[in-house]
This record gives sequence, structure tokens and C-alpha cells, in this order.
Amino acid sequence: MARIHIDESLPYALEFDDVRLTMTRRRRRRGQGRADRLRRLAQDTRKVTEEVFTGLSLTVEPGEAVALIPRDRRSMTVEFIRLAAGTLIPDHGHVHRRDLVIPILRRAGLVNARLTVRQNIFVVGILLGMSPEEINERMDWIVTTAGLGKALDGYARACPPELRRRIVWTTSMAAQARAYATQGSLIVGDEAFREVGWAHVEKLREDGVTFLVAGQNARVLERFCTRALVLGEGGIVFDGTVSAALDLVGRASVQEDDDEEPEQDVDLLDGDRDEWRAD
Amino acid sequence: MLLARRDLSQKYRRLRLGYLWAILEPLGMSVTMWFVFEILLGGRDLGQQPYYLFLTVAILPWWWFTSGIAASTKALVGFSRTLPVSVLPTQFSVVRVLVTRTFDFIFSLPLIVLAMLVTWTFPGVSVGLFLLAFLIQLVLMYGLSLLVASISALVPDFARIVRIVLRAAFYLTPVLYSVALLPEGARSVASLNPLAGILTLYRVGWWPEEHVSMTGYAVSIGTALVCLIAGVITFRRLEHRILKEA
Repeated sequence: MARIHIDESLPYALEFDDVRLTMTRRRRRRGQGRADRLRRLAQDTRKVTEEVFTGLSLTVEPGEAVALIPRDRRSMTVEFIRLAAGTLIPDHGHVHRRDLVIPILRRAGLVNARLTVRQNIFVVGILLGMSPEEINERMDWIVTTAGLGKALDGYARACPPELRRRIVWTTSMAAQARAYATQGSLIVGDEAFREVGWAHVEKLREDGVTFLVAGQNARVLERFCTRALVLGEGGIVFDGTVSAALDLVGRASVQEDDDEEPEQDVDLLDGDRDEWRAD
Repeated sequence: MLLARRDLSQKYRRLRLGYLWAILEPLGMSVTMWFVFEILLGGRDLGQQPYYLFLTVAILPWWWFTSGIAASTKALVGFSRTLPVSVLPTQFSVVRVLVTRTFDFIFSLPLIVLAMLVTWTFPGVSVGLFLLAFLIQLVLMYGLSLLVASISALVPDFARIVRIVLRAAFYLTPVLYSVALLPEGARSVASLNPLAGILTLYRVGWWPEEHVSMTGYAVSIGTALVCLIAGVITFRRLEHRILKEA
């Protein structure tokens, strides 16, 4: 009943087989009539069903670092990554994967201020499919890499957002996946930590780990990726080298994701109550 | 399991009495009910004697059932940050809620011992059926939780309906009264309630006369299995829509 199927005999790291997906989104009401204005005032939204992918088929070889570049709508890459990681199920078709595809995290909001840092590492690690034993084993590595030091057994509320970001990022790296997917979080943190991050991901890429990278600026993509996919019109409009893809969509339009949602205490355990909707 | 343990420690950490609350809540309920029905309304033949023990043995499982199902309406709602990043099976969120409530129930079991000591009434060998009742209820609750959680994730109104149904079910379920003491006609109707059979199994160790017929047990086990299958199928069907909502 698990939603993520792993097929170790697959020759590819990832295979999309005629994937179709529609998403329902909420849009604010437009229009100038009295009814529309009132509804807008009441924060009424209407539901729109959008076709995101119409028959997407592709394969990704093990060890490739694929840049995902949206042509018209940014959220397409989010859905692509969620399909790859298996946190979205396509309406039609299948996504086959040889290994777990682990999302790289960076949101400081994933850290629960009311737990200790160690407990947070456990919660995030378990969400990413690690067993408690594995987390314990890799705890030292996480502590050294993220530079936690004494903060490990203190409450996370004492950690600045910068440190929280490092915690979740390092924990996802500790998952030691053979495939990673990221929306804007290939590299996180301040200058010093970015150096560490770069060294780590480049080492992983050389070791044959597969990457799906989205939401980064053109410089990062050119430095890191070996292949680019431009997403649009319900599928792939371009598949080739990174520089050619960047020329196609325009370098300036490829931006790094804004780093963080407004600071707020989010509770991974209680669930967040905000009315967040993809728009 | 680990997540459920965290839930538990979170739930009680900020309270001064900590885990005692798992006991105090149902204790308050059973004492109030005992006061109203035994002392105020006095001597009506609602259930077996001693009435306080009779009430406690059923009210704890009932509390587990109602709080578990009510909590499952929220199991998949409001996780817009975790569901998109978690590689765990989706139903783990539901399992987690259920496990938390089950531990609450287990922690509250000393209340029965307390009631036994207060009333100085001790069970016979058939108290072993308590475990069977526990297992049937667990299966029933797992099925129902999956069903309730997946539907209420997509239709928010459903959570309200569940709340109303649970409230009504309290009176329809023989918590306050005994099926064995109902008139003949009403008895067969009451045995159709799957919880009636389960509660009888819980109680039969103390009061062998609670055992009326096998129909009640059959209904309980049958319903538990049907709920399990329905829950699993519904969850599977709705899973991709739940993930889209996240």
C-alpha cells in the first residue's frame, strides 16, 4: 500500500511513463462587478483545474544532474519533483524509480521550536525514511557538518533560522540517498556553509548520485548540472544542455527561489494550520 | 512509533500533571456519570452492580474510540508542509494518531484497577476476553480512522458530521446501560451496534450474565472487518487527491 515503489532492476534512475496530472488551484476572484468585488472582499476563491502534465515521458540516467527550468509557470517544477519523489501520484501513467528520491530540505519552518535539536533531527530524518538506528549512527556527522556543537540538546527555539536551515539540509544529506530532488535548496546557508555544501554535493555527483535541481539561479545550474529540461505546455519543451536551455528561456528569468517563508512557528507534529495554497 | 511517542510527550509536557491527565479526563467523566445516574437518579436498574465499576470498564474504551475517531478527522488536514516532503507512506499520519490514542487508553487502564479496589469486586477467568475486545476495537478503529481521515481531508464538512454522529452514538451504545437488562425487542436492535458486542466482551469478565448471545460478537467482528476493508480501499482511492490537496 506504500505509495512509493522502488524497482531495483530499472536501468534508469527515474522513468516517467506517460504521466498525466491535473491540479486544482484556487484563484482569487477577478472582475469588476459588484458580486465579484464582494466575493473578493470575503476572500472567496474559485477553483480552477489545470492540466499540468499531459503525457510526460522521459528517463533520467543514474548520476545525471538535471536542471529543471519552468518556461511559464514556476509550480511545474515543484510538481515534477513531487512526482519524482513520490509525494504526488499521477492521475495516469507511472513513475518508476530505482532508488528512493529524497527531497533536500531547507525550510527553517520544518524545525519545531518546542523540541530539542536532536529530536528535530529525528523527526525530519524519519520523514525522510531513515530508521532511528541510522539517524543515531549519522548523528555525529550531522553535528559536525551543520556545526551544531552544544546546540544539539538545547531547544530549537534558541536556534536562529540560519541554523535551522542547516539542520534540515544536513539531515536530508544524511539520508545518503542515491537520488536527490530539490526546489531551491541545493545549497543553503551563509558563505562559509555554502562552501561546505558545494564540496558535499559535488562529491556526491562524482559518486554517481542523481540530482533533480530546480529553483536555482542560472549560475548554480551551469556550474552543477549536466542536462537541462525546460518544462512547459504540459510536458517538456526542451531537453539538452544547460546553456542552450538558459538561452531559450532567458538567463535573467531563471531565479533562485526566495529563501524563506515569513518566520513563524510551524509544528510538524500538530500540523500547521495556515491556509497555504499553491497559486 | 517514534513520532507517536513525540506526540505523547508534546501533548503532556506543558501540563503540570503530565501523564496524569490521561487518567484524570476519563476519571472525571465516569465519576460525573456515576453521580448523576446512581446517586441523583438513584437505584434505577441501568446496569450491573457495582455500577461505578460497570461504568468505568466501558467508559475507557468508549473514550478511546470517540477521541481516536475525532482526532483522525484532523490526521491528514493541515500537514501542507510535511506531506510534500515525507517519503513515509501517507497512512502513517493516521496510524500515528491512532497509536497515540491507544497509548492514552492503555495509560488509563489503572482506573479499572482503582474501581475494582474501591468496589472490592474482582473478575473471573473470562477477563481474558478483555484482550480480544481490545483487538477487535483496534481493527475497527484502524478501518474507521482511515475512512474518516481520508474523507475529511477532502470534505471539511465531514469532520462536523463525525462529531455529531459520535455524540449520538454515545447514547446508542451501552456505556451507561447494559444490553442484558434491556427488554427483549430492544435487545436485538441494540446488538446491531458493533460497539455493543465489544463492550460486552470487556465487561463479561466481571459480569458473566452480560453475555446474551453470540450475535453481538459476530456483528462486532464483522463490522470491524468490513470497516477495515472499506477504510483501506477508500484510502487507496483517495490518496492521490489527498496528496494534491497538501
